[in-house]
Amino acid sequence: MLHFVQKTLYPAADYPGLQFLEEIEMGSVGKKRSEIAKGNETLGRSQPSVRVSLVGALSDGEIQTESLRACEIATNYNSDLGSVLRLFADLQALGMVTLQGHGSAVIRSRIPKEMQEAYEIRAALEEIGGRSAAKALAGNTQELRLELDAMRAAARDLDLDACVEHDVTFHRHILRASRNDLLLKMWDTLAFDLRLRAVISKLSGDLSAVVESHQPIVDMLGGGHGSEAGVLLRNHSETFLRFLQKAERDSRLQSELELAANIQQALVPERTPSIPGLNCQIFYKPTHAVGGDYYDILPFPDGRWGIAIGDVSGKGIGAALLMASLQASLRAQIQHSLSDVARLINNVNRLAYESLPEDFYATLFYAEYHPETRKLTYVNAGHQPPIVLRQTNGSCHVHELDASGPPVGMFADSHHPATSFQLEASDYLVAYTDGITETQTADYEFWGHQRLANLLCSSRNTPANGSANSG
Amino acid sequence: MVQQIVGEVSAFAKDGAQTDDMTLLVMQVRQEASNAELAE
Repeated sequence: MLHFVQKTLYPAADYPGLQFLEEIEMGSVGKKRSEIAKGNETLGRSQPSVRVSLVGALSDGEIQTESLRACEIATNYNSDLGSVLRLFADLQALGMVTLQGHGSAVIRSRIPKEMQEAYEIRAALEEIGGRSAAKALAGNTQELRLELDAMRAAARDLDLDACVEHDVTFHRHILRASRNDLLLKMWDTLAFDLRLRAVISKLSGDLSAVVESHQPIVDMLGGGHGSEAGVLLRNHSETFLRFLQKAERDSRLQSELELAANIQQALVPERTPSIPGLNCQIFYKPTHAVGGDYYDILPFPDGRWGIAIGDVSGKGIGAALLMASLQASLRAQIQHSLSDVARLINNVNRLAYESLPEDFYATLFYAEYHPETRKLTYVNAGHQPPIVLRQTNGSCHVHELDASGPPVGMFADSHHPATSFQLEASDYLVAYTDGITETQTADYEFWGHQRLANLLCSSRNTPANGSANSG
Repeated sequence: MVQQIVGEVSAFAKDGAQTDDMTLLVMQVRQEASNAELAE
């Protein structure tokens, strides 16, 4: 029980703000919001900013430490110690922290399951309240309309604090109108003022919809339709809970995507490697947080260099996982230092086929470069043909390193014969994924392979060095 | 050369959106380094 805990931990005499909370419990909070705000100011309650900021940060899991120190929070949020201690007490009542000695609190759960249960109880309480309140509010919804207009204005201005305040006042007004004191007391103990502050920032995309869902409630109460108003109030709470759950899922997914992006970033070469006799330049830009393109440059102990570029089927997390799997397979094979490139890729194909779900595959160009001989031995498993650009007698020749087999992971027993290509001084080797050639205009015109070849010929004297990795 | 290609692609797309991941590797065989290696 919120207020019992507060009184037990902090006698009202020591913390004047609790006196205000006691008044709430005694049912004297039929006050206007302005009076409440004035009361907050007079009584030195913590300002909304620290409430919104700290509660939101706890709810979002943004605070990485296991415990909170009141003096540090007061400093960080420009608040005072007494206000923060009272906030700690409120948070304990919500199950978010456990108070310790010396002004500290241990974070218990960043996403309390109790939040969901509280909204389920709220739905039931408000259905009962709405049914009873219709008699008193029939033709008398002026205050509710004012609160709704204020909510709309706050949502428009993204003033989350004001939005919470008007929302709580709106619902509390209905429960007061039900004239069921026990119902109101039970509703108060659920502390929706704080609970809303904990989650309101997650709803920014859906805030307008949440606010507008109050209008039908006003209409039904104004018309004296108690049963309908009760059902609407129940739906309102349940819908709000669904919004919260959706926001929670979105937030979790976003966190997972960020983590996946970090992991993927660690998988690709951190910087452009220095291959003897070659100037290298790399550009990598995923469409989303994580990508399905793959490239790798790997040194062999005997001086050879492995050069890989690929594109896995699909997009997003699935593609990123597949890309990681492909890289692991290739690196595992390279560990064996196989001198037979075809055998190496056939092994990768078999591993990919056996370990990947059906319909998952990857195009892959893999080459081994011998700096001493400038010889390139490669296998192209269904990948866009890399281009070798050569200038002979003042004219530009384009050689394409065509595919010699299907993408890896597509068939169990596909074979990928290796081909050798003798590079010469000043040759360019250009490998790319279809994101380059299939870039399109708003009219769906592809940039295309031919434009790439033409551009390479016209810019062949431009040196290739450094890095342009944007990923 | 990479910057030039990426610049051309971006200019071509104008208002078009990037629809797929983009990866580009450009490697140029150096004359001087290769000569030194061949001499060894």
